[in-house]
Amino acid sequence: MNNQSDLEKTERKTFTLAYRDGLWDLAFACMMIGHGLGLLTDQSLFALVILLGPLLMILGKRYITTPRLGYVRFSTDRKRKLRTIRAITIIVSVLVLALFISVLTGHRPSRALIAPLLTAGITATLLLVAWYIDFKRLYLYALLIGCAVGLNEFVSLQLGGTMYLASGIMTLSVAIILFIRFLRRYPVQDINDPFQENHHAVS
Amino acid sequence: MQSPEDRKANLPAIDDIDRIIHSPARLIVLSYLEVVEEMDFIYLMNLTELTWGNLSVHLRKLEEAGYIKIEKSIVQRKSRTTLQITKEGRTALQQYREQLRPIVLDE
Repeated sequence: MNNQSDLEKTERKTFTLAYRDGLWDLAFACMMIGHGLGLLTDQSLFALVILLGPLLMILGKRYITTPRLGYVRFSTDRKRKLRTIRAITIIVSVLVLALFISVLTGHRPSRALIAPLLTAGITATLLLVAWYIDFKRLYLYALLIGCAVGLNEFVSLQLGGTMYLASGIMTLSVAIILFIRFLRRYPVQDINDPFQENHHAVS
Repeated sequence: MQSPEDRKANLPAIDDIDRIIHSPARLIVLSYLEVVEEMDFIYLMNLTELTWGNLSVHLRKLEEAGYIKIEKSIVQRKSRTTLQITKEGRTALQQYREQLRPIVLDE
């Protein structure tokens, strides 16, 4: 019996229950599809699709997930991890978005400098986030996004865009399947005051 | 490795084991509550996969023993039952684990 390891497993299970709704997957799918469409069509308008992901996730968590899954406040350690991840995600998202817009408006920084930095940086950041928040599917998304960034930077814009779009569609399919399964498995719970009614006997 | 006689002599009396915690459902409930600050009834029900009637009876027993704190509030016009493990609950759970260790392990 290893107390610490058991506690960590229990804590991880408590935390990862929140990923079953597929909303994180949806946010990543929007990011990939937005990038893909932006690169393939050369339209900065598709940057809005990237922003749609986090927006849908926030609204979905509040109005769909919480009424079905319930509410939990994690331990201080987990909250510290989440704050760190939120900060990293915001910084990286802003940097990527700025770069994306600068490319579409024709102000591209030196390729030799930015290509390896961007490919390695984005992949490493996403892998780190996946490890930090125990989100296993994010390892795959990190590699797909890393490939798309690499193809875009080292091979061609078209190939990178296609990779983004294909990965996005695949991720979106996963998100939709998870979301439907989540809705079926976790119906809205009207009763959150279980002590108001008579109970069944417990053996 | 200890001889069976030594092991028997070193085992804590089974009667000393906390009967409130010594139930699979209540042990699971306390273990989940131990690793978070607080959670509501629905989240715990989803985690434990117990029915609400079954879970509420176990929660009532844990509350009566002083191992958990149950608070009711209204959030967005809906009632929310929030659960927290108490200091006594943490101590009892730790003590239970320590009592069980020599029984399940060859120590």
